[in-house]
Amino acid sequence: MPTTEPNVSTLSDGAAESTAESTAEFDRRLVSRIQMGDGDALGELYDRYAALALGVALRVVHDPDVAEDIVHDAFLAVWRKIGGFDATRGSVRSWLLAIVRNRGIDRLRAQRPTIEVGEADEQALLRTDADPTLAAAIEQMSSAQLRAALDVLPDEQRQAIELAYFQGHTYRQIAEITGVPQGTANGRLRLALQKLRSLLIAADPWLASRDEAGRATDG
Amino acid sequence: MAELSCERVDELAAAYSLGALDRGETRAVVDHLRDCRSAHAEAHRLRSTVDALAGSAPPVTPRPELRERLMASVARTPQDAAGRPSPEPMRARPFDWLRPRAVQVFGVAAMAAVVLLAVVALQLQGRVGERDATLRAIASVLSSGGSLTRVDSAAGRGYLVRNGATTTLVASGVQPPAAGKIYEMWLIDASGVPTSAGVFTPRAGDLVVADVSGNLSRARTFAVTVERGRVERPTSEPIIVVPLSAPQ
Repeated sequence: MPTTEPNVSTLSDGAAESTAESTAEFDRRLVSRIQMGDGDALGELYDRYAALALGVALRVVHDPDVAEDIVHDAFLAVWRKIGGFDATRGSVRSWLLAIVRNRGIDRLRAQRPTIEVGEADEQALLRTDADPTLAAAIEQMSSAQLRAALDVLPDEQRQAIELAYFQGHTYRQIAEITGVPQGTANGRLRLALQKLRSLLIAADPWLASRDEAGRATDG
Repeated sequence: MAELSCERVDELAAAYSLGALDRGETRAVVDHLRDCRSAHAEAHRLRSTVDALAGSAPPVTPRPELRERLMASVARTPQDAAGRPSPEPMRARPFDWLRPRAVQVFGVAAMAAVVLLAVVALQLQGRVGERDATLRAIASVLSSGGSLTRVDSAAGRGYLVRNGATTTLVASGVQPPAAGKIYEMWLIDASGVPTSAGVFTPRAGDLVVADVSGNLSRARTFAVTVERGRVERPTSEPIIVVPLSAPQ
């Protein structure tokens, strides 16, 4: 199965040479170099993930100039805070995209004065990936594959995910927007993520076999 | 906000993963997950699923000026003080299927029996070259305090022969793969992440003697899959799975 490449047009020569080793291993080495103050390594990280980051930012804020500001600020946050990044908790890619998404939501929420703006980077750093195999598999999937999985969700669940993840609404606000009880709105988010997880695992034979074995062990 | 029950935390896990809680609820969930002894497996699993939402956004190539602006900012921005945050009590539960099961590691007496059996088997088959390679591998294991880990599956039987920094898969009964396919070996760490450890393509009746590349000290499982060519991640269910003992 061919690996899913990041946007090739943004890869530097150094990053392109990484195809011989695993993406995860290459990223770990980049993180180590950035932690040692290597600015070129931050540039290589940018070359690998700027297109993904800008895609997420645009999806949230829909304004190209604001989106580019968010991407700039997110990479700069990675540069500043890399000393606190623990590679055992998750990949630098997922950390970066979480910062991008959260900063985009912060911008949206700043326009809603009644809502308390969260501490995005702190929450992102506290992430603990107890499912790193799934996380690694997701990073290999194309955006089209992931969108296809989302399209399978029932409309009300997909809408709830859109309102929460890409528009930054709380489940209480989603309940108000969609005219359902808070428990229903929360339940739709829960069902949507559970369904999405099942779809992603089912799409990958390796993950499906490991998930089967894991559930057999749980008994 | 009042402390949350485990049941309530599980109900809010999805909303928390999506950042769809207000600040008070978010802090209450974080505090609970940090201090609670329950696994809250769903809370941890769903957080990885949220990564898929970021990945669903189509990539967009930025203008070149953005990179220049960023690198200029990096040049004048100091990094925060190095060092990791204080240990986070929030447990990352290891991927369940990697829990070590019975790991059969043979002592010296058993290794001697293995050597004898291997020699006899190969002599009977008249394959002198492979016998010598196998004898060298096993002899060096015996002389340097290495170890053998049994490989016993429907797809093949033999041993992982570990000797210091080198590891060799020695197995018999491995059928040639279908046309256009190969066998790929994997080392899987405690988090369930697989790393390719090499490929091999046996012929019918061959004894497999394949170098396992990579760092076994971090691996918890050895596996073999059938692939269409060397790949970065397994694409199929493994045909051989061998639990490995944790480092001493």
